[in-house]
Amino acid sequence: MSSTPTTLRSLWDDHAPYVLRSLRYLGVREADLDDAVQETFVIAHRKIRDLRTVDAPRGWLYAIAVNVARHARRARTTGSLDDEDPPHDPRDLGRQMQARHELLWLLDQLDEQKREVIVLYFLEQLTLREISEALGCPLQTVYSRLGAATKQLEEARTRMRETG
Amino acid sequence: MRPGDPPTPRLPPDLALVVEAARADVGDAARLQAIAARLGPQLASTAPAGASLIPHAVIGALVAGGVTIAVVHGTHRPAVSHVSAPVTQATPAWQPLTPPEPPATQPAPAGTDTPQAAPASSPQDTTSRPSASRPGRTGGAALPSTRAPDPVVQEHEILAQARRSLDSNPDDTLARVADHERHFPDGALTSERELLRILALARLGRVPEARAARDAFLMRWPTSAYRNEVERLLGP
Repeated sequence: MSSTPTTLRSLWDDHAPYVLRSLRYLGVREADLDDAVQETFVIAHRKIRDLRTVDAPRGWLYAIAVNVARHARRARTTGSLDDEDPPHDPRDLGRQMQARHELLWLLDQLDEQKREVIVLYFLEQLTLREISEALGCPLQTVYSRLGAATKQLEEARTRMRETG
Repeated sequence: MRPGDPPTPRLPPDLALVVEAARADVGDAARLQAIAARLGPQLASTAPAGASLIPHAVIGALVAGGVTIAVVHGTHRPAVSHVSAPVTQATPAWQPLTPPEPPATQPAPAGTDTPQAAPASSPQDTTSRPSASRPGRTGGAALPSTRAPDPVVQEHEILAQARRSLDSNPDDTLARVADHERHFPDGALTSERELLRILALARLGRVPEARAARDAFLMRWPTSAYRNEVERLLGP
């Protein structure tokens, strides 16, 4: 146990930028990102009393983010066209934005479960154990899913190159 | 993984580069600041995990005139409200969020050795909730209260106004920042105030002052969520 109690403020200070990033790559639309971040922390606030162990709140917080993202993605599938992301700002055409667009496209080729393990493992760099806790599935399942997801991501990348 | 566990997959170099570039894709400070402002009092709470930020939880859901009001006691602040019909009460100082509800099963805290079974009701219950609202997007009912305004709400009001004038009138932002500092020198939203100060000074071209404010910010809040952006804001 850490000697410093975990508060919503400390969760925010330590994790907010990364929660925003993970929500984006988990498939939340740009227009919905702010709401999704807010919702993640609202739920964290509501449930923080359940966070007894303060040494590793990251997996706990990502569990919330993953489910907020799932909800947002499902809402999108039933949403209207005017909910689509606005055109990207041309000033954003830097390497980072190219990487964002490329990775988002690749992740879009995966199903939800594979997308989640790729984002949590490679992008957010959670351990497999943290991922199993965040996703609520056995460690072996995470491992298997990660292997399949990595293979599928590589295949998508190959297809992207072939099609220019 | 433990010794003996199979190796974890790796990305080919070209994909790894893409992911690495995307890892630098963290939220910008102004965006996070705006979200923090929306979280307002909740974020300002100092109650630790295990002690509950809502000491007595929701003890009343009053339904009156088509308005459902959730009242939280023990925090000397109204937590959230949810409206089902137009109301005429004054709007709360910060945007109402989602209504509190009983705690659900949580995923086990990280750090345990045994993989956990799926927490069926872990935060997936978001599907049944109204989404976090964006200011102006949804209606919000005021909580009628006879108590004095919460200091954090007052702080938030000042800083929300400061934030609104940042693009059009950074001088006004600075004036409101000074006002906040005068009334709440060590308030709960002090880091948000100082971030606004940096941004306003930068927009006014007062670079040396902005840099000084930035350096003071980084020294005072070295683990701030805004650190990366603040560091990049004005160069060395």
